[in-house]
Amino acid sequence: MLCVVTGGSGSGKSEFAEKWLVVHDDTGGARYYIATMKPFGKEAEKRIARHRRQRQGRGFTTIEQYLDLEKVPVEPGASVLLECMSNLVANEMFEDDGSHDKLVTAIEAGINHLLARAKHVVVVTNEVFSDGEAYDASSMQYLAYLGEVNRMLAKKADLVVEVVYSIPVILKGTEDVWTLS
Amino acid sequence: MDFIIGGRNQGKLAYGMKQYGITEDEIFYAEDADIDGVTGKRCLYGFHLLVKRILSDQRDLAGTLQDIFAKNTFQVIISDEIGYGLVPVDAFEREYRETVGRCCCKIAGEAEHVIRVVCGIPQEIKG
Repeated sequence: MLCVVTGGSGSGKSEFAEKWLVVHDDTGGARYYIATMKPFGKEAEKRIARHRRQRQGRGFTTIEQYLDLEKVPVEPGASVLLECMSNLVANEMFEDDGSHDKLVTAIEAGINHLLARAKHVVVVTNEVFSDGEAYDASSMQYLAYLGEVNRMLAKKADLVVEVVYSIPVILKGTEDVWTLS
Repeated sequence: MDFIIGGRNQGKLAYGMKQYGITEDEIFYAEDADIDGVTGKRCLYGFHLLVKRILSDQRDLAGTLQDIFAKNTFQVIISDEIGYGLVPVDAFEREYRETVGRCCCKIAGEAEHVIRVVCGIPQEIKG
């Protein structure tokens, strides 16, 4: 089952995604946290440290994977939380060894790889499309790619939740997630 | 306390005034109100701008907010949702955006109802 969690900045979406996975994880198997953010600079380090503290005690094994989701080793029946799609798309687009203009296909193959093995996959992504700003061409291209990836994910997903200031708003699916808020 | 959120110019204030019978003189306008002087208001309008002012004045955020909340009994808090764009290049803008998000999570957690207004249409997402 695929659950996609989206939301704005500081909305509490990662906290929600972790709780959701822990509650629904009936596999008894491994629980992986795929971290896609490169730890560059003080702010990134602070953010990563905050997320690590938040995950403590929830039984996750962290896998740092900045590119190539297809290469993540996941045994059958495990559960996976991927955070965050907005970083993965940026890495695939801008890193030298990324998949560049084929990134949507590459990420879809990576998601299929995870779904073929894991019992539960939760993907955290980001709502970054509503500030009305006109950015430079490469940022606009990035937004187009992330938008396409989000639509691809939502199409596959059993459940799509937008987290608004820690409140889950269901966009697709019928799972009763309100009990978790 | 109820919390009204939404993008700018969506009719949040008009909805709040009508729904809660709030008059002009009962509103704490965060954009330009005297942060330390205004008392006795029951609606806080523009919470995001209050956070911005406190951060840009480099005041203690929690302490200043506590002080304002002690001098006013807000039945309604209204904030723009500002976290729906690319991560800003400017460090202050990044901090402002993130801080508004975290504060709004807290307010939403304490609020009895959270109402999101889009095109003037209220949608109750908590309550």
